[in-house]
Amino acid sequence: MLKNTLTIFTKEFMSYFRTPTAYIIIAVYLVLSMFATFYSSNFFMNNNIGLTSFFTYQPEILIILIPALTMKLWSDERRSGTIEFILTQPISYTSIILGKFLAAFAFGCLLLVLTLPFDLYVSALISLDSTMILSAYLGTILSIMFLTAIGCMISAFNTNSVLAYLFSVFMGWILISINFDFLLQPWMNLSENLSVKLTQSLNFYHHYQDMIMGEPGLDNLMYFCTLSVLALWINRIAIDYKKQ
Amino acid sequence: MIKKHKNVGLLFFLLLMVVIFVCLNVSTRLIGGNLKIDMTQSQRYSLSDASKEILSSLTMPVQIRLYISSNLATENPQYANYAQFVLRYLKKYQQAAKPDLIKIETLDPQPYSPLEEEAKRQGIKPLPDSGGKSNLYFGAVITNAKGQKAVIPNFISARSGYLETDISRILYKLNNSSKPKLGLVSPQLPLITHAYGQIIPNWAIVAQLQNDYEIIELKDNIVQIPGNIDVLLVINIEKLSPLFTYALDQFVLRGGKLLIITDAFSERQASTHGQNSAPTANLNALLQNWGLNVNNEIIAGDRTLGEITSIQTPQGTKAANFPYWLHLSKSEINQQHPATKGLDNIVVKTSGIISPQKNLGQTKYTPLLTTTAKGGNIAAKDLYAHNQAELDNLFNETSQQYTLAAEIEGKFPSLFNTNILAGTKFAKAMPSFLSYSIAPSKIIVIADSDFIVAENWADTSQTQNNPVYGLAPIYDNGSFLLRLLDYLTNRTTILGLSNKENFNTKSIGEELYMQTFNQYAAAYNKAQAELIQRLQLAKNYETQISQRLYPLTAQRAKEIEENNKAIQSLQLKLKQIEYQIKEQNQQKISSITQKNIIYFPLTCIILILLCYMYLKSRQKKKIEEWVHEARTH
Amino acid sequence: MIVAKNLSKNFNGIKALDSLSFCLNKGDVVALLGPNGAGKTTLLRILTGYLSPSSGDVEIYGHDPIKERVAVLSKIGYVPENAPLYPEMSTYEFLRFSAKLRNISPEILSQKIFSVIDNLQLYSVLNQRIETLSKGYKHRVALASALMHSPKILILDEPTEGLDPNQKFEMHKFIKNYSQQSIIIISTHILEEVEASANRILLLNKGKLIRDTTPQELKLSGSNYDIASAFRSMTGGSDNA
Repeated sequence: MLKNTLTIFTKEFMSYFRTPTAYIIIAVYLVLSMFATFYSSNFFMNNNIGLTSFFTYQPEILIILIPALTMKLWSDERRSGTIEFILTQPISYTSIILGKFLAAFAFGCLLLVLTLPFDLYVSALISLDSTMILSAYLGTILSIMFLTAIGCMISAFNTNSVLAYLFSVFMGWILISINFDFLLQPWMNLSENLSVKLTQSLNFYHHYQDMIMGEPGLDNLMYFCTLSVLALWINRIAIDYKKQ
Repeated sequence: MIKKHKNVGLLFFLLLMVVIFVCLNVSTRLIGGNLKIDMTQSQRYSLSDASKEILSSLTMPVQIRLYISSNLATENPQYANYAQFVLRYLKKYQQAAKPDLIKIETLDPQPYSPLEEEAKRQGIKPLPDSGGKSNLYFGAVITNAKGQKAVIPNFISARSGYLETDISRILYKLNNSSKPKLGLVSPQLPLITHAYGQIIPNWAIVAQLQNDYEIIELKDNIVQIPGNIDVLLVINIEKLSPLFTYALDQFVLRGGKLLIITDAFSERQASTHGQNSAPTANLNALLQNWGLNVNNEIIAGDRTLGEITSIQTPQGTKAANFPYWLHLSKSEINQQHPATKGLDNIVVKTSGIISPQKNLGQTKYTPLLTTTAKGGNIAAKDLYAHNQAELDNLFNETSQQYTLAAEIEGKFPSLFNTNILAGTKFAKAMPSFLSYSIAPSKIIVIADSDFIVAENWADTSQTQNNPVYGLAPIYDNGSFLLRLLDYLTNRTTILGLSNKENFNTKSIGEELYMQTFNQYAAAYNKAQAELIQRLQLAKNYETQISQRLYPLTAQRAKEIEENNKAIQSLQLKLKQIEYQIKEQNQQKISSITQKNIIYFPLTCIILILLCYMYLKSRQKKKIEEWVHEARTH
Repeated sequence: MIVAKNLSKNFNGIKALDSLSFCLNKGDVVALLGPNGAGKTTLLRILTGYLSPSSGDVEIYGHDPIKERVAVLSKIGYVPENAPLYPEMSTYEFLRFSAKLRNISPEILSQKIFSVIDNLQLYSVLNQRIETLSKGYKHRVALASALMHSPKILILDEPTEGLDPNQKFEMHKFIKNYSQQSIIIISTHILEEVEASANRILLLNKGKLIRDTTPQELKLSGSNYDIASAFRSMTGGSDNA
């Protein structure tokens, strides 16, 4: 199982580099990230002990880029018919799904790893709070994880990778920006504390902010993990469902 | 038909999963929402035990109304991060308290809204936005169930290290409705905090004291200290009258707590009253009776602790270590004593020397501030007659450790044999004479008074509207005084609070600017010093002319003109340097931006591409070899 | 041994397969014959566990292709219609990938890959990207990948579609060679292929198995004593050649 996952992972991960996709995505990601850091979030003015300027716009950038990593994972297999090849190999569906997911996830993490030189560069300018930055990176990695899972899921439902990309961006955007406050308005009077907790527990930014401010907790981890597991589970269903 | 059935089943299954997802998340948040790891290096989000103790002793609900303008982040980015932090921190208090004891309300006062009116009425002060208008709010009103309130007009990030101390003190204050009474005897520290309608920033400490204590001002010629006073603070009395000596003596014997600040050479007075200011009163008779000696004749110094300043010498200015302005650190501050534990930087300037009497009897002597073992001294009278460079040369290193502040506690005999007013009609109204302590007392003596002058230890630029929470301490002097008083009034819970590292370090922009400035600092400072001299000269000429002291000869007119020309050229030069700094800084910033936006991604891509191509070519080669081998066989 | 009992498959209420029953043994080279839309590909997909039957049972060497997918698939080499491959991989990379998917132990991995490469004469294209290969080579690469684990059952869906006569000949030769050790199932609607390589025919029409026979028998049943006329008469095509 583990070996098969690794085989799929290696193939998919290397696939990114066989086409220009990888290089374009890396370039776009780095340029966008740096652009957001320097032009949109007051890099020189803000208190950047935890590199807040860098992390502020990461979710928005990743919403656009992660679907580009995941869009082809399943839709291309379907389009070219290789899905019949891969699904008739003597390995379980779960390892195929996990392998593909992990490949895109690892590529997402690679994007983050490539920003480490930037951290080093900034640390030469001012002293940084390294553990706080670690927590922020963790938050970004978890965001990548859940966006990747969503992207895999959407790709599994689509034959057209452009559609898969657009749907994934849309879905990511919905999940990240949705705020359930309006649902809870009627109960606001009941207990303010409870309703705030309810909406916060399903709000992406609440969890992400906790992480980049250097205060990760169990609820943050739970949010990202359950969302990813849910998406991968639906991915599994989609594979069976779309065959017929 | 079957398919439709299947679809419904699938949909139901999906719905179930979503419900499970929501339930899992909400329950985790409700049950484990407090399971957080503080991953900041300075443990910014962790409440100290003292704060927790204050929270656990809260008896009534407290409401925190936090006024934060929603456009704070866009208008004043420096505040945005800090606002986030403050909100998080207040939530920590809420979590640590018993449920529903602390209520936090976040309000967004829009310009010209009723809420803005309310905020202003409550005492929240507006901050300027980028357009210069004052309509940004970032402050808090904390009220308890009895309606007592404490107001933080603005949170300033330069005081972020004090956030926990501030909030905890407020909660403590609101929970204990009466403030302790502080008797203040200080002819030279008048309780006037305003002069001509302006707050005098140097007396910021008075605002800090008023925040925590009910201050009762006492004259230095009274014969009796009122019995309801919890602690008596005596600062720099000029002349110790016999009546007041008696009053202090009896106050201590009744178990009164006393903090005496005296000085061998008060720089503050020297600079305000000129060099002929009177030395502060000699308390020695009284102090010796309690077991302490304060030597006002010599001043303690220490080369290893001296402040680095620029000293004017005949050869010009040079940076030198001035041994009488001492920067004390942890090893010179008593870390065992509850009042000074945790303090790690205190500045004292030209302090006297304290030593214990040989025969201490039943009393306990504890030094609080000392020099290192490499101390030295200078005669106090030399300070009046010499400039800094000469003083520096006069330093006499004795390799001795001197004490600058000390505590003595226990029971003492009286300095007097009988009531000083015995036989007069006043004696009857006075409490009976004591010849020996009826309760143990605590006396703390500090041999320097300059340490309370705010300019020596804090940034007071934002204290105008916000005297308490707008003070940005750089050294622990203020905490030192407040903690000593807390200690004397026996408020041990508050003593457990300690300040944290400031949240706000310099921004990258400021750091870069400083770096660039430092390159030009020498030239800039030199030109500025020269300009000041020239301006002074011009002023002198002007007064001479207006008072017709000298006739305006041709030569004099030429001199004046030359001087004016020099002033103009200096001003131009300064402007040029400023322009150069700005230009170079701008270049630096754009080069950093360019490097990171263009060259950094490019390098990454090329490196990865090369890496991949290398691996690929290696694989190709390997295969070709295999194929070759296979074909030859 | 492949045993199918009353195999049916419905798509949206349309019967793609209708109560198929047959039994295949070692040494059989079976041609799955039928017009387009007869259900040939569906049957192959059910045998490979890609689709599950609506009713009926399949047993492949005693295993169920749905419940014991992995066990069944490790005995099968399957080349789907049009030989789909990953275009961005090189031939060698693809073969290595397939070998790893078949759980071949690392010690004999290279040896296996090269024996297959040798077998199908793929030396000249090892470093080429698959998308640049000709159709014939693509088929050979797909076949090579299917043979990687020396499967007991080889299933080829329209293996000579779009190949030139030389390539077809090569393919037939290969099938003949391989047939001694295993069961080979070829789905096709090209009759010459049946004659060239098969020793058994399953004739499908509209999801039904209408004849399970040998090529010789089928020829005899046709009006012109050839397979083409038999095919036409049995599948409802007009018989006026």
